[in-house]
Amino acid sequence: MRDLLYLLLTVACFAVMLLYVRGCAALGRSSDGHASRGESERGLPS
Amino acid sequence: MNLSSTTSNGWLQIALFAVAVLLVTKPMGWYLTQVYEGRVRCLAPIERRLYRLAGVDATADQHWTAYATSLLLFSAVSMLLTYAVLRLQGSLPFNPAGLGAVADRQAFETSASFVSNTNWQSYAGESTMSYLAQATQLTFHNFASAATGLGVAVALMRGIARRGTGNGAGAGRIGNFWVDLVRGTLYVLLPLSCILALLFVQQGVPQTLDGAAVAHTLDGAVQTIARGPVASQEAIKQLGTNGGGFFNANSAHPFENPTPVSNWWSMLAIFLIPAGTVWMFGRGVGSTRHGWALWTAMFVLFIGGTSVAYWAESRGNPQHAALGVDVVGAVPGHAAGNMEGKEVRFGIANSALYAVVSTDASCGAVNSMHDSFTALGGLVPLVNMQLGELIFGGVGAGLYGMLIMVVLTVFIAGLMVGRTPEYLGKRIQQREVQMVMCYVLAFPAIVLPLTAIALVLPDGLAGLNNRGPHGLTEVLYAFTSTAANNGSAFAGLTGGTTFYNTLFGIAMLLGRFALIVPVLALAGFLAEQRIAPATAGTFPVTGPMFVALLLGVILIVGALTYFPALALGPVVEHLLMTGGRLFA
Repeated sequence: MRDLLYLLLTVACFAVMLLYVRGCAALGRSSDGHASRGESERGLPS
Repeated sequence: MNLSSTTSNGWLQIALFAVAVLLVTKPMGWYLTQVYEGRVRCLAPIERRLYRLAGVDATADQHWTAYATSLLLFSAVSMLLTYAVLRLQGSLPFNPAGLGAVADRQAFETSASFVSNTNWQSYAGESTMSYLAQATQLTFHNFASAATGLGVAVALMRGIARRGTGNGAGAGRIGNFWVDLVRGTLYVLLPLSCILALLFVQQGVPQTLDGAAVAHTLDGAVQTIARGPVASQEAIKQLGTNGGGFFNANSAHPFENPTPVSNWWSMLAIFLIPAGTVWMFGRGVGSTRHGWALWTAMFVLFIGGTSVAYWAESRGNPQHAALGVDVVGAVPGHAAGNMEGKEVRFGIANSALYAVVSTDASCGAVNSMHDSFTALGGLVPLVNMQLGELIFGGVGAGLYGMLIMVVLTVFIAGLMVGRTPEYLGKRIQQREVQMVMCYVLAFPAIVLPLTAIALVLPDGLAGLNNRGPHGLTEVLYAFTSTAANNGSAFAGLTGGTTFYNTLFGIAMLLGRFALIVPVLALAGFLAEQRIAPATAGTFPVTGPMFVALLLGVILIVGALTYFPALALGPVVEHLLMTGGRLFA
């Protein structure tokens, strides 16, 4: 029974990490749009 | 009476080691460059067969999400396999001692520990693990987890170095996980391990598949002396910055680390690949001067930590000297220093140096008991891990940890001068900084809450063997070590319980993979960008100013994050010790 619990815990940890990958990818896509609009000029005026 | 017994001999040994690290950096880095640029092909037939067997297209360049998914799936499957073998070892071959199944909680913790390159052990290897489990699972992970870390660092290097195409086809590609895994294992870790194992055997480390030796003493008593394939595991333990020992006493055991020479080889092996990866990175991004700047920052932190630890351990506990129980040192008029928990064959200098090297890197091997260090001496390994183990660091992990700090430094420098931050021609924008912050915040977000939980729940408090600030340090050290994938034990904490085994297992998995994911994402985001030429406004990433700023950022981030916890543990313990109060 406890073997099953540890198995589920392991799978859950890695499943969360796979979701983390998708989350980072989504964050990257949304931020990329923002960056390309807001920072098309190289460097800000000092 | 001068309470400092640091000796010129001790400093000379530390200096010789430092020079050796400097000398091996470029050759190792050059070789790593050849391997990861695909110019070392002597085992190409084996490589091809492995790819064919696994159904891998070695020519495919993976998007960072595919790279991360491959890494996670490989780690998950190999962890589950290890769990199964540990639970079933009693029914499997190569078990001459007839050892039974590893307890479920320990099997979970151990499989998480080895897949994450932590190698934290809450068991005595010689009396818990069969040869099959040691050789096919634990040693397998010693290679695979190290090659995985190396691959992630190389992937980040590619992301920085590549001339991206924006969001077009081929954007965000950072290499092939399976190729990096195989090349790192076949061309880097395996050959170096063979050489180092022979050096260890020459120093007297056992390498045998026979069972324990039975000795009959002159008094007629019978002694059972554990042995086994120690040298081979010892070699990859150090080279892969794994740290998990064949024996419970780790590198303090005379069969794992019999002589000062084997001790020296061990320390050099820990820093060999991490130092080389820094040079490889400089070469890979077209600026060896930048590589040396990173190396210098690491070296300064290494020398600083070693000096503090050596000084503190040589000074010993002044209360002992005041009570007249301090033994006489080798130098007349000087204290003997703190020899509790240290092997006489290594002495204070080599114990302090080993502790620093092992925690600068994510190795976690120990040749002395860190729990027996003075408060300040024990603070150094703890801080080394809390800074993110970026002082040469774990194989691959040290470099990518340092590069995260570099990006943060460049970002802060950009804000200071009011320009869009750039790093080697790549702009550091919102999403890059978001990934850096995910990395920087993840580690303390694992360590501090878990430490707090353990310090208030009865199951956590039940593991404490020391009262006061030292007890707090033991728990803080344990969660820092597991989440940092170091694996060294402060000792003094009874960690072989369901509570600690389970929490440590979770800390190790999150501490490894929740940090690797943002690193790979950062690599992918940078790989998408085109390289912009440097201008007069580009922040220089070579030279003393950059190194000083980088060191400042590392120390400030570390201090801000962990100082309150450290103040309650080793700092207050030191202050109370100087005031005459000790804790049992």
